[in-house]
Amino acid sequence: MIRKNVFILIALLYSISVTVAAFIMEKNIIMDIHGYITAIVSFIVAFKIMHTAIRTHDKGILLYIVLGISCLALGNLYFFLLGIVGIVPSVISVGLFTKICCYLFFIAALLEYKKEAGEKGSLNYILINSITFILTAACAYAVLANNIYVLNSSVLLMDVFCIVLASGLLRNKNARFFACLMLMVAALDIISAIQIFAFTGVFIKSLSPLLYLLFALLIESVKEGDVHAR
Amino acid sequence: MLADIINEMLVSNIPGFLFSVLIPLIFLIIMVKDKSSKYLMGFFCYGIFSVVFAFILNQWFSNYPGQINRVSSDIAPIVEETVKALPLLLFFRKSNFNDNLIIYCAMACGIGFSIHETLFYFTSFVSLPGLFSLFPLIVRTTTTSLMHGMSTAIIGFGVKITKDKEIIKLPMILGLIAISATIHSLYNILIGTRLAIFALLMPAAFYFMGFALMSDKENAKGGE
Repeated sequence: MIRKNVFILIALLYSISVTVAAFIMEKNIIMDIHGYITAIVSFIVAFKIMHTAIRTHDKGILLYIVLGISCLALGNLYFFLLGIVGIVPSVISVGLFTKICCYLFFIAALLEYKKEAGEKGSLNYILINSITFILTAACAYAVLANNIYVLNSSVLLMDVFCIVLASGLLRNKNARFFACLMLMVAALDIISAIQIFAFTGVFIKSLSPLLYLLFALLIESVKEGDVHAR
Repeated sequence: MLADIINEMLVSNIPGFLFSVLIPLIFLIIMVKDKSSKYLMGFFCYGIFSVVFAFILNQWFSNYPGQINRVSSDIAPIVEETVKALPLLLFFRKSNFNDNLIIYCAMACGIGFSIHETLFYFTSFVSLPGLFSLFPLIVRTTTTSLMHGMSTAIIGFGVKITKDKEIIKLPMILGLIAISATIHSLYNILIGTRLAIFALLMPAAFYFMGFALMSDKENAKGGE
């Protein structure tokens, strides 16, 4: 327990120092280094979680979370490798699309939690299927047609949708940690898109390692609780 | 715009390659009685044919303003992975077959696509003299076929795990298409850089990982 808290504290301190350093030095190099660190952390976390999922043969919540984290890690790897070879990706790239698609797997995990809690309703599934399909298809179109407005609005709606689903799970004891994490991810995404103050964008970006760490802790708690259907 | 694209395709090598490969294979599919083999060859044929759709869509989106530099990195990966994955949706309606067949069919589809694509690029490779033409062709055949095959196999894996579930099926497939498209895009971008070795090894790594996982499953079932 103490070790977990130490990791969280280190990640928080890291975020604060990155934000402060980025403002004092006013150089992109801090954010570049931060990008590399995030990519490495996400890859380690994704690898660790994937290893757990393969070992436990989990075909439920754990698998969906693994796929979501894999999307994020692959997106980070994309930007990491492009950074190494000195290629600047376009504003709307496949890497960004993959990172957005992590929501699909997280929404699937949220639904699986709902199902476990005994909340039924085939109409809900049809509705959620349709909404997520339309939003993802809109994102894909935005990447193909290089349309930033379609992309931003689809992501925003996906965030809102995620918040609605996650807030419905806050009362569920087993799902609370994951629901809180999803609320945090979606809310941070919305705040970073709005960018009220200049430092909010930098601070939110610097929180990425902390979020990955929280996902790793989530998997630990899933393993310990062993409450999921396989 | 569509008429121009279709005209461009008709004067290219695509129709010639398409019919010279597809017609003999269709004869074979009709003759074969085993259902799994029929499926496998059918998906392989679709993969060969899907180059037509991919060509039209790639050309269509590349005609948008400022898109020419994004074709191989952003447009082609999404278009090609989507087009290759389309027939896999059939498995959502059918349930009386071996689960692993979905992954094999997906891979067959990707490899069929890659064969036609390699044939399409073949003319530019053979313009080099003698053995020099052979090396890029071997590299391309080995790595591209694996890349296309494995990226579609990833989507096949998604179909396999979601087909019996009530939860969001189609959006999850889109998510896996995004993963495949990123792998495809990384391959296309890195192949021309100093990290080309990474691009060349990536498909092989996926192949051996897939091979190991599939072997594990077959062993766990006691072999089928």
